[in-house]
Amino acid sequence: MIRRLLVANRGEIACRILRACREANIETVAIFAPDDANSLFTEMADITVALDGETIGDTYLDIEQILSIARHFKVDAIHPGYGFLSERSEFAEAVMNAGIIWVGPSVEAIDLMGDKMTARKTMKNAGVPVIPGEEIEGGIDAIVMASKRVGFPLLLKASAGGGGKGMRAVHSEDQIQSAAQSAQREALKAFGDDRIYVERLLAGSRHIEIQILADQHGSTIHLGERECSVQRRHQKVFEESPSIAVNDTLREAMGEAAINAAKAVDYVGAGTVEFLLSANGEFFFLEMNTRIQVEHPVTEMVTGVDLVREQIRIAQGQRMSIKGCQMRGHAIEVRLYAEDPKNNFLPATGKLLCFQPPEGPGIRLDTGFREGDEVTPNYDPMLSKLIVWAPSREEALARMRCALEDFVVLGCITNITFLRALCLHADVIAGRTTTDMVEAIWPDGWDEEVPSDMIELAYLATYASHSMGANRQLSSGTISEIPTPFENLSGRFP
Amino acid sequence: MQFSFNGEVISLEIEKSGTNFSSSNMQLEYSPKTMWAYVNGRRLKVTVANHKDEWWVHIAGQILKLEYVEQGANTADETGGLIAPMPGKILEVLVVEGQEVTTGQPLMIMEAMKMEHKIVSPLDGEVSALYYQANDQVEGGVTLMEIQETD
Repeated sequence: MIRRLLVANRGEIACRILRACREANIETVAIFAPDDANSLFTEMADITVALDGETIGDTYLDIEQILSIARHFKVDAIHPGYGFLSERSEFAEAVMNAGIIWVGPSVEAIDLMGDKMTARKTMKNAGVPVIPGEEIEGGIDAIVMASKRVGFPLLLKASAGGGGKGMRAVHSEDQIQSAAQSAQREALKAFGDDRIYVERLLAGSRHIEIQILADQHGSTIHLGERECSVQRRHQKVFEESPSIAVNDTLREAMGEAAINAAKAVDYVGAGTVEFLLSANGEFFFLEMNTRIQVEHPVTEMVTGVDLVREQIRIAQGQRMSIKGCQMRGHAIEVRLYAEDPKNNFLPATGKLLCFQPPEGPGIRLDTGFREGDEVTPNYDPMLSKLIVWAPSREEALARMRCALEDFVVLGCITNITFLRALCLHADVIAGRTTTDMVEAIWPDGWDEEVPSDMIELAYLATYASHSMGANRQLSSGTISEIPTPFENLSGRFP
Repeated sequence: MQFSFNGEVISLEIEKSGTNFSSSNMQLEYSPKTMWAYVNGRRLKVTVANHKDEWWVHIAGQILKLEYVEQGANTADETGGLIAPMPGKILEVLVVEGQEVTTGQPLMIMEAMKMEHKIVSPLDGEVSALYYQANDQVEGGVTLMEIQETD
């Protein structure tokens, strides 16, 4: 049994795991880099340990340092979250060799799925359909040759890839040389591996993924789909379950393919098999993520399953607590990013002067940030995930629109107004969601027309605040005298 | 009092009476941080936050950033300077001083948050000054290079 668990991660997913452990009566250890000393997640752990080092490589990616902390505090298990070391098999192996439970699948499963080219081959052998394309051995010339055979438009993908890094859409032959160089360079930077493969770009398709759970007692189930078609820069921003494009028959077919994919690598734990669903209803294996995913809450909301709790249960050798997939209602998640949607979604930085999340029935916020926090360029710019549940898709969209309208985030540019525009767009409302829709709807980038009376009102409010001296109070850095409760009381009863 | 929004200076006639502020067609009851406004009979919640010269305003899902403008200051963008959109590292400089460039032409490749970002020319012109080279770390907001507009 796990009595003490170390979370080898930060931000919102660290908060998510730390909460689940607390509920399961498991003691927690959080590790943090110096610049995370005051981050929200460090407040949620029983034991916090400062990592020694400046860069990500010296802190959250330092396997030796993390293991020595784990040994020193005698933890029984390590949960890697997503990103960072979560899909690094050498970490999983080192954890298990140290006699510590690894909350995740086997080293072999991570390796087979982590290398995207190997995964393609494994899936082809297991009879799971893959996108027409080619695995490539060799450099730029080999990429160019293979691209010509596959045909344009196509996608270059990093074999070690993830998160849209090292990925390039190439629409014609004259772009291939520079796109391949750029993709290789980015892949080398991000993963230390510049191998690239090519897949045909299927226009107008949807990204549908199946959540998988498998325990050590031979039971493998799927928990339905998530549709994550709405993306910008090849990164998801809007996810929902169920998908409007998936009926019961298709769900069973995709669920079975996903279970086959998982079984082909003897998968244990929570995982996600990603598919592309083409405009004519064919589905193809994209990749399998051998970890908990960012968008796992939408599945939790519609199935009622606590995926992180199940991960822990499975890791300590228990049977999973559910038998199969039962979905109810509709859930939507949007990712709140510190980025400028009017400037090609470029990451932004700043201090969260005001951070007031929405509240109400069916609203959930998974956040790594709170008011007063500084958004720095050191980490991924995702601040929070806003998730809503409602009985129907239409009601869930309405709930999300209202929640986004109430969400006050000031001091750092975010994509919040873009997310609201998405929820109001006819194609999203009608469920005509495809992976290329953001570029197709806003080919010159997204912008919004701010009504002139809103500008006038903003001016009026700023004028009022400025002349009433609000700036002097806030910018001096000192908190004005806080009245004692007695002063408040006497104010209330004059 | 002057504030700018999206680079445009705004200055309106405001009437003040106690904590009540009004312009020609709206009025606002001031209170710190969160306040209420009435626009054509519609009641709107307004949240204001301030940092240095930046004033952030949230109104019914809309977020606006205003900047305080010193009286008499010139806010017009006089030079064709290219500003680093964020802190990061210069990976590659694709142009040399004196080179003619066209609108949309890639000038530099920056890396920040593990992603590559292309800096493209906002106008047709000539590169008149280059301030950074490959591998330099830059702060957000610094001028990377100057481009002289050609007529």
